[in-house]
Amino acid sequence: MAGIPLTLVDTAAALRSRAVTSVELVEEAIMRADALDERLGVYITRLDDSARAGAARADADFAAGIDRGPLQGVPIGVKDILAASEGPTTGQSLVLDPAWGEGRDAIAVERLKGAGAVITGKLSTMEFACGLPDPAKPFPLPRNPWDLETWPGGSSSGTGAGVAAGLFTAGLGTDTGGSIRIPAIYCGVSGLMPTFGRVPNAGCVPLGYSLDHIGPLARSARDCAVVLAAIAGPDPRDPYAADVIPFTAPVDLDGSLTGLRIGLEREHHLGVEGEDPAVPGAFEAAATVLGELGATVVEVALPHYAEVMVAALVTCMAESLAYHAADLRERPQDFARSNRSMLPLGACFSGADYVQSQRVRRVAQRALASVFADVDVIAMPAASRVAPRYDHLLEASTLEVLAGIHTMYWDAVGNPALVVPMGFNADGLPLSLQLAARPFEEELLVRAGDAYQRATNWHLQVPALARDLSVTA
Amino acid sequence: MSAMPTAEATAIDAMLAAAGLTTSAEERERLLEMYALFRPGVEALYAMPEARYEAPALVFQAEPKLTAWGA
Repeated sequence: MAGIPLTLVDTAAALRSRAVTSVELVEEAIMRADALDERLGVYITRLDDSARAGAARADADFAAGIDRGPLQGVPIGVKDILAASEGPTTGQSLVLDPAWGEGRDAIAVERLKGAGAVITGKLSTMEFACGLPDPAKPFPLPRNPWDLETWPGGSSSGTGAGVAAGLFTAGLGTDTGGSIRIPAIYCGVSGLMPTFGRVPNAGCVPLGYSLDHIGPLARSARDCAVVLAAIAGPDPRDPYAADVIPFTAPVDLDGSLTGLRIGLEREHHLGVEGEDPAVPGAFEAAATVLGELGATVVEVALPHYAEVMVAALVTCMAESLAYHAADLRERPQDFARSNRSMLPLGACFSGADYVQSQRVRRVAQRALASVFADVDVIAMPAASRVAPRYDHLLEASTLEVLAGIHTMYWDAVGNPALVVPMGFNADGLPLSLQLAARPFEEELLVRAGDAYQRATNWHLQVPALARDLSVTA
Repeated sequence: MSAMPTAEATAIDAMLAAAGLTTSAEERERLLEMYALFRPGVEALYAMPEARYEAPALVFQAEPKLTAWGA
């Protein structure tokens, strides 16, 4: 269908000008899923009927003058580790008790619905948001719409691929070591990992209790801000939710970065083994754009980088094994192949190793705060490599695949990080810029990401497979 | 075969057994590789002078004031 906007912000405007209805948006989303999902593996559970009903309600509300905000009537997908009352939550696993979360909404999903969003379905992930695809298990093998022979990234695989292919306007992902940002990187869309505690995690299957973040993937930084504003804020049902001033999507964005100080991090992000030749040039071009937009650009180095990566791994492995140990003892063969190797690693670190990792995280937070005394935002390539091909991926270990992806540092320290597309490599696969800020300063990330996206159009590029279905800006 | 010294591999096997976890030969091999890769880094965490008197990033609330999800 022609005339369906690409971005959430434009979709919200089109709904209010009556250029499009929510029913039309949802029918478009269903048509696209019918046409593409057998190849893309985006959905674990489609919720066509309830989405149609939700769209009709949204249109009726518009007609009655009821406006719940910019998500009203907008098709949104939800990663299948977040509970939604309309359908089962599998965690893409044979292990998760089907009764878990049955008939209930995760807090983030509850808030999306309260804002009038239309939930189109539950989206593919890696098993329990961890590890790599396992073709031996009865779940979709998610594919990258830019090249079906490549992986869309994980673990919010379906969310990234679905946004890129226009199966929904935005979606929810989760990020423990990079799982919002990695699919956003590989699929050429925007992804925002909020500050730890910004969005309550209750109703989401845990991976690493002190590392898990729920956040949006969408076309643009502004789109991510709109979704984040709907799902952020404390809740007494979540012990980790931060009691801070709620996030509101900035409304005064003008594309200028005058007064903003941006630190470029090259030391740990360029010249990495296996680096795609296109990455350095794309990053330098992005840095030039940021400077031309008025930012003061300086060099910085992230403190304790290697130690933080180790601390993050120890933390994630220990916390995830605590959750999975009983099942892993009783039914290991029901776990995905990569997780059968990876999860037991948590038993090989001591309690003291875990606590020491938390001390190192505190040290790094303090040191990083010193860096942020001199800059407002830190910019770096989000990954040194592009989406891996499946023929390599299925033989690789999780750690091999994670090498060259620069996301986990930010999970460990808890600061927010945004990724935005910054070009393509020689094979036409997306590259991405990562921006990070002080805790609870997501607004600065949105400001910087939006300015960059006003000056570039990488985020509006659509994979050929989806373009052929006539999506138009 | 793993390049890990036999004593360390034996220790890993003992830790897995103590945790009640079983692995196939291939899974064990991958796990040993990952452990060998990360163990020196874990040891290095104890050598950070800045961490010597640092309190860990752990929070425990005596009065949690929480409502269970779904309650």
